[in-house]
Amino acid sequence: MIDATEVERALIGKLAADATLSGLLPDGVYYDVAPIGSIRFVIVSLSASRGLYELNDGETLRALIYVVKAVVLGPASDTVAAADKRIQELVDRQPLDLPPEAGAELMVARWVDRIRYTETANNDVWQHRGGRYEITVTPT
Amino acid sequence: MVIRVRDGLIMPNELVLRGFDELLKELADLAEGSKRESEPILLQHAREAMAEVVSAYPSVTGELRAGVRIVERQAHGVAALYTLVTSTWYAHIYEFGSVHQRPRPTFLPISERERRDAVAAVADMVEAKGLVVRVKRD
Repeated sequence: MIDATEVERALIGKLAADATLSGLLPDGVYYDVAPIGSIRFVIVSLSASRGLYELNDGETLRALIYVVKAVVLGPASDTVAAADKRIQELVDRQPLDLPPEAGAELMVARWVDRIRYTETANNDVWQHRGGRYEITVTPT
Repeated sequence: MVIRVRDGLIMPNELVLRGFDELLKELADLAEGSKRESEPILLQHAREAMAEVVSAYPSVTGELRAGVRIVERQAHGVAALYTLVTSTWYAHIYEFGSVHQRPRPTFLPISERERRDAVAAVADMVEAKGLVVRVKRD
């Protein structure tokens, strides 16, 4: 059985372990929301998913589409742009080590589309930049 | 259509296709006919996607629900195109999250699923005519 939580842990773990990304966004990598007080961080969240049932009614593939975005406080865009680029280098068509508990092997990790917006909250400006990435796995 | 080899030559060096214009017209009509038949299928899936997105959005101010609409685009050639859009200014923040609020994926998973279903339904319609469809059925 595929355990999507383990896929997410592997993705977050890979991003968190990268020294370049940590240097740009030192507050860490989080699922859905970051702790209060964080000002430079990565958010991973599930955007969509689907299973593909093709062989003997069994699940052949599972495609998990994640939002992976850098979030930075402030109007300057150099840090968030560099982080976006680094995320793409780490995920798009790159390997992802899945533990046996995931019950799955990676077929492909690929960039799907771009996310970029600016949020204003309490007189602060936040830059959100990243993309949606499809992680397609097959049961082991 | 008639295919013949020119008389009086040892080696055939000419292929005459009679009725080629008619064949081309049939093929053109087939594409146009498929477009006409695919339009209601696509529109039905667009409407189903719109209804599901509207129903999934919360109704606090009503802005999110009111912003969803179908745009029929003038497509080139034989393409039929309906686009589901949202014009609410904060729809992307609802979808992808803010600094203090978690993402609430709604528009994209629903519209993408309906888009795949629409492509499959059009492929079924074309295959019912005896043609082979080579599309990514993802």
